[in-house]
Amino acid sequence: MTPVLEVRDLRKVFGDLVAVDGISFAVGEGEIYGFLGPNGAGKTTTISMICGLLKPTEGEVLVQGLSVADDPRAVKRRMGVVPQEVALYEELSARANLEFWGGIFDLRGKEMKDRVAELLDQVGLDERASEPVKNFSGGMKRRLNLAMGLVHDPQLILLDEPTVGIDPQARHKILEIVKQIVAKGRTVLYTTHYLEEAEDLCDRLAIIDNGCILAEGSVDELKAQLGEGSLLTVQGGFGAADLTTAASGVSGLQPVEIADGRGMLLVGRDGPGVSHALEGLFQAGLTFDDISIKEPNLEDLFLRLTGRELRD
Amino acid sequence: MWPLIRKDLLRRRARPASTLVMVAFPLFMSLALGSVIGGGGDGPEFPTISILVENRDEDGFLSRALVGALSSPQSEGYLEATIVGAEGRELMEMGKASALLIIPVGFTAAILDGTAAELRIVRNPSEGIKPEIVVQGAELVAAWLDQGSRLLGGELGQLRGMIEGGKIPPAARVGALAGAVTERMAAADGILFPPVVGIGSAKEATDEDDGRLSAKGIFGYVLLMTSVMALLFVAVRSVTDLFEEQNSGMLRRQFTSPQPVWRIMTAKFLFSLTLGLVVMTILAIFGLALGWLEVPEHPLAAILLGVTFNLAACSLVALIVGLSRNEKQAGILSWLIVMGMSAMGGSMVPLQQLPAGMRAVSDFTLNFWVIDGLTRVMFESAGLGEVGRNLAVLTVAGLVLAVAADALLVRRFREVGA
Repeated sequence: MTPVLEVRDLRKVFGDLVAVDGISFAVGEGEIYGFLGPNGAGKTTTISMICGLLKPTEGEVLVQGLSVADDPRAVKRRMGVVPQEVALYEELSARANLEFWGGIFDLRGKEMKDRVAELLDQVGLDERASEPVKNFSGGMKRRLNLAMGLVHDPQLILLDEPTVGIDPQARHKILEIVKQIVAKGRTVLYTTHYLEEAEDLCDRLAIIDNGCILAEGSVDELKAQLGEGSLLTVQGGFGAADLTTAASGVSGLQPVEIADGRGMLLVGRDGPGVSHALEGLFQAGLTFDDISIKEPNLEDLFLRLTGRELRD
Repeated sequence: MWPLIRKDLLRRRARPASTLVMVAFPLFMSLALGSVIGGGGDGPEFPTISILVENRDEDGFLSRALVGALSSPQSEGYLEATIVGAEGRELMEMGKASALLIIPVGFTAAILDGTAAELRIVRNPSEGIKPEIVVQGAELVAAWLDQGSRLLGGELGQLRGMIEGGKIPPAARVGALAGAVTERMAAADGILFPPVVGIGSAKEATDEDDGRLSAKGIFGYVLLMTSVMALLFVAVRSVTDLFEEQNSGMLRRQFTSPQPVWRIMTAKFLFSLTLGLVVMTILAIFGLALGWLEVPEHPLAAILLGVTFNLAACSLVALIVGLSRNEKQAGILSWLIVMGMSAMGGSMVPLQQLPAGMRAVSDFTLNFWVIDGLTRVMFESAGLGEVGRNLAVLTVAGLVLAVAADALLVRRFREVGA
């Protein structure tokens, strides 16, 4: 089956800066594909090339088999873009904003009226549809921002960090709407630097940094890259070499990320266990100020892949 | 394209302040300038200056000549002189005139003797500009008399002798005096005549202008002049709205729609044109309702002038925006060009009163072509044929600038997507 979105060897260079460096991925119908990475990783640049705002230096983007470069208008009709910044006409009402957006996608008459009413209801703004947007809270604006990208009922929806800067309740509402969209068979490309969102929402994820996809797969597949077991994190006055040497002497203990004064180690599920591992480290003469044990998550994987935290 | 234009019209309706200011500005200026000058909605509207003249030098021929000049037919319509006696001051206190001119006893003799002479003026304190005009006029007369006295002192003495002699002087004596005066004038030609001729020319221009204004109303003329400037600012405000949309992210968002960039730019241009026409219509309705303007004999000519001017104005501003590197630069450039064109094109000073240097460049302003055309259509009953040149210039300028501007705007704002 033809993927709804297919990105092939996409590359974008600004002067000396390689913003996106040969990215390839494909997203199928009814799938939420996440782009997880810190600010500046290349997520928005990739989105901009997919939606035709930026011309790629190299590579190709296909939407339902149509090339963005060759047939941009047809592609744009199939695509809904929700930008990272809230882009609305503040002096107009929610309804007027949606009607304008529907209008430039050639919606008219009853079709427009019904679609706008449906969306206002879906994003919970039907009771304040006639109010100027400038009176709305940040969360309400975010919901309308999302609705604008859905007004023409696109097959592919590009959501660029749609929950930035809003409270947990509003975020929850937006995530619910995204799930409803996908339940109708629509495809979503979702960029975020919020780990919990990516884990909760996405069927598949790409971890992106410095314009490259570092890892790709479902949440479980990505976590599995860290190995099965528990993550032991220790902090203290030790050096990185000391911890590496000590860990190598303990069976079932794999270093994930080690630096001076801090270390993350995977205690294998089939090994002798956490207490055994800690005992081995103590016996090697190390002392710790802080010890924590947890299940590995994507943050840990990102740390392992890039050597830095997602929110650095 | 309609949704794009409609959206901007709705936004302007939701935030009408800037548009209302552009409507209010010409109306306010017309009211203010018209009131200061003293015009009115009915009858002759160029200010008629009422002046009382108390001639205490009744026997002096120069004072009688001055009184006669003030009452001459040439001054009819803008100067109304009433000869009064000692009751002059009382009439002034009652506000019956703009000024009282007192010609003192011995005025003629003093001029002829070359001694100090004084014209006294009592101003009406409740009026602003009219008494000032009288003072300026009197200073001009004083300057002429002073120069004449210095130049023709001896000859004027002889003339007084002839006039006061009570007999008809011999023809030979009159001829000799005329010859002497001619020689004196010829000798002083390089000094005396340039300024005198200059004053005379200025007076002629004013008279021509006054004739037009007194017929149709100074309010209407000022409204027309200032409306043109206001419409240019409307164009600036509406075209530079692109920057506002750029800053809000809406322009970038629109570029993700199937609408091509050129269509988005053209829609903004058409919105600007529409808004300009709306503002122009509102101003015209106000002008008609207030009696400052009358429906012209050839309304189509007026409408076409308005449409073509708006086209040219929007195109010019769009071109400036397209050429500018950023919002600030576009704002400064637009403002400078609008103000410059308004100053040189007749939106600040009537075309007929522009200095020759400025008048020479008026032809290069949009203001000139529309004000000149509309003035003729509104106040001289000119038809399409008579303003055909104006229409042609505005249309060609509008179309050429529009094509160039659209291409530049597309190039300028396509980068917004980056």
